[in-house]
Amino acid sequence: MNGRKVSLLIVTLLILFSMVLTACGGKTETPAPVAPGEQPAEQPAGKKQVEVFSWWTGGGEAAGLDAMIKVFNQKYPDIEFINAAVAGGAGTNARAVLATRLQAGDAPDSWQGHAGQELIGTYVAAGQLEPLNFLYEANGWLDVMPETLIPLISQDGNIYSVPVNIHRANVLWYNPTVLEENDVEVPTTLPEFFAAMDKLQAAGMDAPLALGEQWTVMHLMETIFLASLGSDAYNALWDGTKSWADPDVAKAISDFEKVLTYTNSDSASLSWQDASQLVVDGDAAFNIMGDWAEGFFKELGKEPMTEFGWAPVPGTDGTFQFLSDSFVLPTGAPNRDAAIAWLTVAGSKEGQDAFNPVKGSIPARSDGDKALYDVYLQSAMDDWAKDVVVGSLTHGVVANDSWKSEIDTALGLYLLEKDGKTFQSALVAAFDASGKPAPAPVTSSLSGDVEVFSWWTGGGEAAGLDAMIEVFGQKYPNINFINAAVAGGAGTNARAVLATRLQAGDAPDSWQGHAGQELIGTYVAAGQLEPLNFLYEANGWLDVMPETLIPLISQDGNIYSVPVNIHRANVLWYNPTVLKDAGVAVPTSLDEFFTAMDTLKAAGMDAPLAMGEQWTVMHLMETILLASLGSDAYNGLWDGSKSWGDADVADALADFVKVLSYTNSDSASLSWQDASQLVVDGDAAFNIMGDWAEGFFKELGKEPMTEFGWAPVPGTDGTFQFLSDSFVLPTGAPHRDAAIAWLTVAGSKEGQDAFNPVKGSIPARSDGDKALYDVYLQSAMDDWAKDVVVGSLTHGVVANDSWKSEIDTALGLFLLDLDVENFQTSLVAACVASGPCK
Amino acid sequence: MRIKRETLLSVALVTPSIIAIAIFVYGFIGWTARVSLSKWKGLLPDYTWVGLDNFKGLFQDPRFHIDIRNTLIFTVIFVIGSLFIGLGLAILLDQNIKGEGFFRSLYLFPMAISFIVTGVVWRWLMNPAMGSRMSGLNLLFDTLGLDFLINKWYTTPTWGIAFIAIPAIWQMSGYTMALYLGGLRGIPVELREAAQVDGANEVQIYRFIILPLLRPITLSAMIILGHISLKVFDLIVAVAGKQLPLDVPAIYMWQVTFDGYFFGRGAAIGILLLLSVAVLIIPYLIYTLRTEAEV
Repeated sequence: MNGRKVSLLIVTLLILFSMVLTACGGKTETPAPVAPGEQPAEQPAGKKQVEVFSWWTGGGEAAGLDAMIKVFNQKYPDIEFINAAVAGGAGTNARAVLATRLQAGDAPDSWQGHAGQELIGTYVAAGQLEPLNFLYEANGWLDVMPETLIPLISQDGNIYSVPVNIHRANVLWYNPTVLEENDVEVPTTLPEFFAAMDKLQAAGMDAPLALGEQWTVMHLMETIFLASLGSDAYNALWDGTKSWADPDVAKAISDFEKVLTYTNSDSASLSWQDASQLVVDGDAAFNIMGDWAEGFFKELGKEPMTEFGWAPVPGTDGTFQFLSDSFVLPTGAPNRDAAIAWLTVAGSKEGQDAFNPVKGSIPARSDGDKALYDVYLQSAMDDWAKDVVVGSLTHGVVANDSWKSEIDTALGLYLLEKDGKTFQSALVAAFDASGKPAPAPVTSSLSGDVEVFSWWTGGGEAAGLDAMIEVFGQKYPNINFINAAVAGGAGTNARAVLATRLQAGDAPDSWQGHAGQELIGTYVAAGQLEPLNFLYEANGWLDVMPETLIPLISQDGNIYSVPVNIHRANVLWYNPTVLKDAGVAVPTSLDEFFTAMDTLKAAGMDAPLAMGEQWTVMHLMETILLASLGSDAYNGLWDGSKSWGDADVADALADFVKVLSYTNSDSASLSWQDASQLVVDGDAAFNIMGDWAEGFFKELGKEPMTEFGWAPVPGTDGTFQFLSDSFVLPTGAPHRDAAIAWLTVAGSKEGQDAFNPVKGSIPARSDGDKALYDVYLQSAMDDWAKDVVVGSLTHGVVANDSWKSEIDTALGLFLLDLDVENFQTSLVAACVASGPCK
Repeated sequence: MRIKRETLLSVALVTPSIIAIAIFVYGFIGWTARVSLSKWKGLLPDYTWVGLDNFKGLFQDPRFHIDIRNTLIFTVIFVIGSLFIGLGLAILLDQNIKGEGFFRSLYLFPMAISFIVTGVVWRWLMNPAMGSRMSGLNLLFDTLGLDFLINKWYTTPTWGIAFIAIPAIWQMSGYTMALYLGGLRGIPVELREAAQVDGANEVQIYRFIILPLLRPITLSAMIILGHISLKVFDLIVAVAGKQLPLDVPAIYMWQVTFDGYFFGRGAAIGILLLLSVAVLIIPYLIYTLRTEAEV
């Protein structure tokens, strides 16, 4: 019996001991977290991988890819490149495999796709891609890629791919000998083109224009449409600003019909190579085909300029109709840093100059090294740098796959019947069915989930949040809003839950936080937040938010949150009747404040200033510091430019001690509501509290101006000590696009004007609709627009949580002994330990 | 076959819970100990070794001095108060009075309530407001003319924490009573009768016979009440919120960890709390195991 007990005990102890050891030991080995955004090259060496998916498995394409991988390996020797190329079907197989993998949640780190709507319509619409604007900005790509290219590979201002190579679609290939023999000039306009072909037909060449299977017909059509309509109208057809029913589209169709009369009757049986070969063989004079034909001609051993020549498709000179292979960054890429490294190489001069000479295309950058390219490509590079860029239909730039397939069907029918009118109405129908931008804001095609974390679970806050969610739902009907609000403890519980989730790597898409250092000191310091400057710029928020606000919510020039509402901390609430009875005016300076309270005390009111539990004491302290020091010195305390040991800080603390002498002795047992109520009940004359007190007074049924009044805390007129709830964008948000959509709504006039009147706060934007707000809030909006903005300590704007908690402890100790000198020493120490002081 | 099948079965049955406890209790104790020796401050873990710096810092921290003082005051008043009242109630109930079951339940009921509920009710009762806003017990005293009893309760400087012990005693003395009642019922009637035959009066019987026999009960009660009092958190927060004059280590631990993100310092407080409870519990466990072995 005893032996069994002992052996069991020993076994148990051994297990326990080993568990404890493993638990401790394992943790000590955890590597320091790597801040996102760091250059992957600087990261500690380790087994890192990047899996890149493409359909480049043969010929110049595979060789070009290998050349670019070589460049990548030189730059990032620590990252193992996994070439997940899938052969067959010119990408069809690869796209099917990719779709299967994406559905299974097994995304590669990057994949190849035709730049433009083929990618956007498929993957962006499914929320699979991250915008790459940050990469373009970081690498200066916007300066080296043609300006007119960017809108074609973007959606709603977001760029979604890195184009590696560029091909030109609108190239007219001709046989110089044939033209010379028939005394035909290279045509530069459609009428010249028709005249030239008439001449050739008259000379006995039945089909001067070589054409192949149906996709080459579509290719021909897009170039003729471009020639007939011009680049502006052509672009407008695709972005929905021009109707397909317009008469000039009918004219383009008739031009196209005319072009078809010059083509060979056996086109349906010819591949594009067959059709192109007709030109170099002298069986046709012209062929309209993308510039990959040049590689084919060289393979056939033909000499440029003598055996084949090229020009822009007649009528499209000065326009570069492009297509491009590009790489993307999937949301939730398994190795995001490595994927970004790959994209950086794919967009670099070095990478593109390795790939393109081998593949026979030109770099998307306009600064490629021309010496590496052949004579045709050099001329294309010149045009690429100076031409207007428009996109190709056949090769996925301007239309999504659905739209393109409907156009393809309509074209096939048209080729059978040659009925221009029916064709045009079919094109209109195709636009309505698949091309039309979704109603209202274009972004509403976004779908999926967005999980927003907050502690707004009751009262006006929850109602305000619901109102804003409603606005969001109208703008983004396809996004499922998950309201992950955590109740309790005025946010304490929520923050603890959030910290746990972040440590477990399970971040929500956006969360609520007090704007300023509370967010910055905690989450930015831990590398958890993305800067939002791009959002501010895109939406023009910098123009509608007070200039002095921005530095308070920024760190090193980066803005990290979108403030939704604004509360004012430095408000003095008073009881007009009590003041009137005592013959006291509303004080405007600290001295007047003291005199007023002395008068009230003399009249028998023991505690003219109502105060509550400890956080309200800190709230009182920050307003008195501001009043005593002024806004510049107050700001200096928090950014480290002013010492806490200065004599005027000591004076301010002495003022604070004096203020405390007018407060109620039972403050520790009162909540802020209890303290505020003392004023409206006439038990105290004053209370210094944030402007949420106004909502409380209204709940009590009190009348503004008669039963309660307000003024800036004495000595702080012209200064707006603010606090704000704001939303952030975490790095690696599971649904980044949807999160950005949420932030866009949170920062919009509509969103803020939905939230704030219900919550009882003012919008962070200065252009809110005043009619929606009550009399106090209207006065606060006026002040917000014109006052100097400074931040609140108690509510997380000016100090990070660690610093604030040390100040809180120092304040608690100070309240026990009221020893100013000791308090000041602690404040100096707190600033050194957790603030910016040295 | 040296090990019987039953033995194997019993080991197999307890293994899951042993593993779970090993991970979720001892594993995390180990982890907390490791964190307490690190300089982790901020959201993400930083396991840089700093030795005992967090502990040294705590013992130099005036706030932690207040915590220790408050804990000692609270523990002494709470434990002694509960023991005396519990014992008194048990002796009264032991007199074979009518409706003993009713009273026993009545005194035990407070234990069924959470400290939060107790705290909220006593927050109202111990309202420290004076003058026209007087309420709660102070108002009762005022109405009854017992003005000398009117006081500032838990907002009393320095000794406020002692008043927090009142609701705690109210809640736990019924439980102490139950423990003592069990002990009293376990004392053979023959012993009392023999003492009475020997001429001892009631006081002498309690002083020399009953109380010595109740010593193991007293020890158990002290351990149970003592560790409750070391860990007290919810009651104080419910009565008075988080304010420094009534600070205890558990509150400091919460604030420093989750409001201030000083995870290293918070873990150090946690380890000190664990150690202080261990100082109480381990000698008791050893004593109990030894006694059982003797029996």
